[in-house]
Amino acid sequence: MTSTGWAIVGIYTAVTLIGAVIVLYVFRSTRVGFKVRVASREKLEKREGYWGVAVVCFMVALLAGTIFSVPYFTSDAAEPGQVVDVTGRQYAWTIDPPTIKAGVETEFDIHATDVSHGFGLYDPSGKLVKQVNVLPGITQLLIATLDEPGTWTVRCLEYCGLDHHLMETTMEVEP
Amino acid sequence: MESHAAAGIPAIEAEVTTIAESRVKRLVLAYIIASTAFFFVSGLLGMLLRESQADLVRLDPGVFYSIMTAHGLGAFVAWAAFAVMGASFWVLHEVGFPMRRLGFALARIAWWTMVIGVVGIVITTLGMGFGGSWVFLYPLPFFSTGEWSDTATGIFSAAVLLTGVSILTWCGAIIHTVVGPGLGSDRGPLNRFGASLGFGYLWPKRFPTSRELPYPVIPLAVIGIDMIIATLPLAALLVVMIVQSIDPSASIDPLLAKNMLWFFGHPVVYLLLFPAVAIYYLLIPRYANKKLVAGKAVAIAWFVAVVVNVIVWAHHIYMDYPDGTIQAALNTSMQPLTFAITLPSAISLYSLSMTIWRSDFQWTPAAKFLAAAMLSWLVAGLSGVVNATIVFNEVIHNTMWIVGHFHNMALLNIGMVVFASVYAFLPKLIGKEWYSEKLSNSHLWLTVIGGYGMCIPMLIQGLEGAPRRYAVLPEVYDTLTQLTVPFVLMMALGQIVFAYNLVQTIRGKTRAAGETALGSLGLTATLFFAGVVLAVSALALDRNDAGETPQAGAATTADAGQTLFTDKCGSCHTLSAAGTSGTVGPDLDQVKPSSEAVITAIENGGLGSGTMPANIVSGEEAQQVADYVSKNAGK
Repeated sequence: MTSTGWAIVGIYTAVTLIGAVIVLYVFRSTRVGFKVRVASREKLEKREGYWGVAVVCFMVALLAGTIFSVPYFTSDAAEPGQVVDVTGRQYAWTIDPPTIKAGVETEFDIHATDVSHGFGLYDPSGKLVKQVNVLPGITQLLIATLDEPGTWTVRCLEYCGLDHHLMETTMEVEP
Repeated sequence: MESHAAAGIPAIEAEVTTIAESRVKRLVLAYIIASTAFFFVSGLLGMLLRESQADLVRLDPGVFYSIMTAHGLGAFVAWAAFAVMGASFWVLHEVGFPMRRLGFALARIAWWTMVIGVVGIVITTLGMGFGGSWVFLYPLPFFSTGEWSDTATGIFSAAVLLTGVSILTWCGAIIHTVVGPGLGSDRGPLNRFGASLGFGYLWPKRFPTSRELPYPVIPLAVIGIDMIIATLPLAALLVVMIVQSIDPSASIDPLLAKNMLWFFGHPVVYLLLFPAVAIYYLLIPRYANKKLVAGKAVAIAWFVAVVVNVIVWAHHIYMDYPDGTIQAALNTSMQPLTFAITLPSAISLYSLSMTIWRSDFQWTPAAKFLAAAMLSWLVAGLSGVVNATIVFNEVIHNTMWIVGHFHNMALLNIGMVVFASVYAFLPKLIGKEWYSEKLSNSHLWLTVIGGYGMCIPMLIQGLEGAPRRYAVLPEVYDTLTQLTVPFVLMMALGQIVFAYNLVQTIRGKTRAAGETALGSLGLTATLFFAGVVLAVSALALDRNDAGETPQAGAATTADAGQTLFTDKCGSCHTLSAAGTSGTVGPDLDQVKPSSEAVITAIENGGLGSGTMPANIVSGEEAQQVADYVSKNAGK
């Protein structure tokens, strides 16, 4: 799993567990034996606003922490050391050249000749590191630096028909 | 008029004819019966898909993708959406919004167009082999590599268009009913519609009503207007596809088509969620025996929802940002907008939880389903936030994580609300009590445990990079796929229990007679289930052993050549010896190429139209394919 994957696991599991415990506690509060008293309605309605503000704050924090790392707009600043031409068609990839250098900023110029395909890059250990979709007739750029030498796998990640699951190839990354 | 208002009776009620309760009951019942029938079929199809991925019943890829298309549309639109569409009319009826003639007629048209549309989808997918997936990503429906015809695409598009017409007429029926006499307003139609959106909670003087607006009305009014805005571009796209299926010179820009699809594809999720929220708003306060705990924040959240719902679609296409288009900027702006739409869910979860908090809550079967659904709403909502965050999306886009997320949301939240509505409303609709409460509880637990046992491994597989929409997943993901099989079967068992309980209830069987028969049913079901699990596990182990032995040693070159040919070449080339019948490339039985010619074609790619890429196989594998083809072509 990639580091982003682990970040998702960490944040998602923590928030989910806290939320689930609270909800289950709310459900339990209705059981006989729980100290029954009627909570003040006004208080609960007022707290609804506070809760709303808390949610907004959380979302703004998540936004601020992530929005500046979007994979877009990279092509303007990039000075690629190598350019790779990728063509996807039902149901195969052509990668030219099929061997590239590790640790060098690489521009993938990706095209599709027939339908939409998804260019999914898996590192030698099988982690999905980068992906982008490509529509027929338009060039889609992906700027990436592949650090790990070895055999990388390219899989199609956008459903493209009968042999979509067989649309797979490899490329060599040399140190 | 004033005396009416003072007595709490909507002021203009007396002046219009409303539809009799018995007719509304029959209408809602028709929605429940049809959607439940679609549920059983599409659920069975889903079970087949997962078992095929687990290699228990390996389906042919063409069949797999046709079933995948039918399952997606069937479970999402024909079951969940259709079910909550019907339940919405009963919710409105219960909060004092009677239907009038036009709304009732539209509701009946919506039923018929949905049923006919779904039949069309079944015929074109399962019958004519259409397997473009439910998003029918343009131009894939016209590039089937021989799997289905353009005619199938045309009829499929028309069938989906009919379900779109159903959604539009349903919106008309909802809007017609929420601005009706139930509202108790003497203002113009636009003002009345504003009031039904909950504006009266924010601006009471501008949107006056003779009684406080019942909360369940708000999400229905919101989705009523949003689905009209969202469905029209989809309808245009479908019309283009119908025209192209007849006249191939017609076409549309793929990026525009993808945006049009998702302009519908996002709000349609809320066609499921918002009516489900209306059901929550109606039933939770009833079981808690107090008013919904809600202040102004709820009205603000829904005000945000009605606007933002139709401008967040591009979060489904974060991974499309071709050079020279504005898509990257559009996608970036969609992240904050999507974050904003968490508000209605977050505020609603608070309101519902605080309504339950320390109340004298009646834990009826329907109430338990709602409670389980609330938990899923929270959990699946949070995985939705992950999807909405672009940097996270790059890791999980088009992986099994997404499949786990929407089964968590659509099946374990909205689906559970659908079941809750059936348990809560059916006795009133048919005048009979449920056959067995115990069976309802079994249904609940089998569905919840089975459902999470299915969803959680899907989420994990996605984080590990397992692609979605793969008839055959790469081997590394097999263990987790097989782990889900017993849970999928558990869920299936739960639905058998539900079906039995439903049939007995409709037949009017009484509980007293039922409880004695219950023990034996439980025992039979448990034994059956244990048997199935054992058989399936044995089969899975057996398959694993059988699959590994030949690979380890004895495979001959000819076998390897045939396998490679079937996997990599057969979808485009016909070779009767290998049993393939692709029509994209030349028929090799006619060409009868030499081994060298095959090698040349493989190394250089297609010679004719030039669509075959070079080096699909290479080195020793290429030689094996060449030997195999030269020896077997024409036989």
